[in-house]
Amino acid sequence: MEPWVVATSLIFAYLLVTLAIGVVANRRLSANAEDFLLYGRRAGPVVLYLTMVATYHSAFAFLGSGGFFYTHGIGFWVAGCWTILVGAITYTLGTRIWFVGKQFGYVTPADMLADFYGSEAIRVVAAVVSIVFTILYIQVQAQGLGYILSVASGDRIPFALGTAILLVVAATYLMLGGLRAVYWTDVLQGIWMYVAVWVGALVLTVRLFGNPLELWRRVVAERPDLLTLPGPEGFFGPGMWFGMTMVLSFGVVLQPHMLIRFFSADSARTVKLLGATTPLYLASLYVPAALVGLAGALAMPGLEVPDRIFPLLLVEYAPAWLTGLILAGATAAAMSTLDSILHSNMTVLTRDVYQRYINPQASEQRVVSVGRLVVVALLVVAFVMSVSSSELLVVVITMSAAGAMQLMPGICAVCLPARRPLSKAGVLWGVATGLVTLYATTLVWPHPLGMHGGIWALGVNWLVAWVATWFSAAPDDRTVERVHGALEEFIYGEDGAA
Amino acid sequence: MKGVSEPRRRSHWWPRTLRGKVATVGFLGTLALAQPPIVFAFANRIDPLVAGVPFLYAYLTGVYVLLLALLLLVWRWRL
Repeated sequence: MEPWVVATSLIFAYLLVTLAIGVVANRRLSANAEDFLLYGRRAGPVVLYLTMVATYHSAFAFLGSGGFFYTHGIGFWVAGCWTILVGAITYTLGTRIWFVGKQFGYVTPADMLADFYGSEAIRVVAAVVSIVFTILYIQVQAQGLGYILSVASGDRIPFALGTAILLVVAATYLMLGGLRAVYWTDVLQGIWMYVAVWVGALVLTVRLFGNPLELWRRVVAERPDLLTLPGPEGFFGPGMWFGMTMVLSFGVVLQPHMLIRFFSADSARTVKLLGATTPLYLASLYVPAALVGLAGALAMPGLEVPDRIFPLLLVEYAPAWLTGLILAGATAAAMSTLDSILHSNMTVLTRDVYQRYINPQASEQRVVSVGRLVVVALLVVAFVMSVSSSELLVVVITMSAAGAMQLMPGICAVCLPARRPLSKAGVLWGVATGLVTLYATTLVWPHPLGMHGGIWALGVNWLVAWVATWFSAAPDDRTVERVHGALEEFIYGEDGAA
Repeated sequence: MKGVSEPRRRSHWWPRTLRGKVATVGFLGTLALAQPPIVFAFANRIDPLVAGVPFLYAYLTGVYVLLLALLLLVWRWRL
């Protein structure tokens, strides 16, 4: 059997398994919107662990991280830092987000912010930021999927067709089983992608160099420029190092598809367990990625598109069956992020737009049906975006995590009681000036003084929010007492002295 | 803030318990070891190799292991 047949068959077998999971999830689904949108807030530690890590690590972690090590050297091991910070944020902020969500029935981040600040304007701003800065991730994942299928089939399946097939599969199991189907497929995807990256990297390293230590020895001898900062192209300066740590931890955790995972947990204990243990998975995935990138730098120097280094090495040096299994792992990495973003955008549009402004009296069954229609609409939008390319799309994708991070002051003021919570005007002015600053420091004057544009934007956002809060009306005192009083009791008990 | 009485609230931005304070200072202090300026001033070199890998990579790995251990300790302490 020809290698491309083996590789493509394995990917299709994997897709059939995910569809079967969607069918099983559908049988367990009740006609309840909370079940469809939030897994009935019953996600336990195993399922939530694997969906968190699989969602956090997208096609970028599988393909792009090898490319980063290939181009910029071991400076990309800063990834370990931001993934560990993700754990700490989950432990502290995630637990509080879970609590207020359960206590006050929040389904989306916009729900939480609108209730606390008593503002429909904040609901709209949060919903728009949530969608704009994540929907384009769909494009990135869909393009990754199309590329993977194209490589596996030796270009026999055209890029557009591959993208369409994989988008339809993800949308189908999402429509069938809602968040339950997304979580269950993520369990499979989370395990598969982790094993695939490790096995692929070790097989390549052994075949090319005998063992990992020999690879390191060769890099020291032949490419020492890859082993110090700021790297061969000067990318990893201090400002970029610090900025990436902050943006790719806070920025990604505050995206709606991650926040919804906190809302869906069965208990605070589950969220804390995730905070303490998910960094083990998240950070260790970059160890084999370093082996792939550095091995590629020695074995295949001068690639025009460094992101392709992993599949190219596999096709060249690994057996067909293994290449197929590993490319199915790459498919899993992209699909697990894609389905989660499809779901979160569907939830925001259904909850914050349809249920809020179009049909507030809609029955639970009606909400689920509308959610499914929204998935179909998102599927079409995602396909069109993935087969087209425009400068605007590239611009927004560049700012994605840093854009979502602009909700951070508002969310922190809800979840971390302080003597002076931010006001509605403070949050709105902060987000507005933060986004303008982000545009300026990412595109007009990229990363001033070597500092990541997202950090400048967050700094301006927080400063403006704080100043505007001084000159505007505070949030309703009863609401603040209701939310912060509940948090005080949840964290410190009734006497507040724990 | 304009025309609003401010009830006295206790801040959640800084932990109140000793263990909470130790964990917070320990985590942030260890995190600082993997950030500028320390990484760039102290750890940015290839030699000496540690167990066959370059110093910078081994140093960062060591700091990350410490951070992971701290997170597990916090979990064990039920903070």
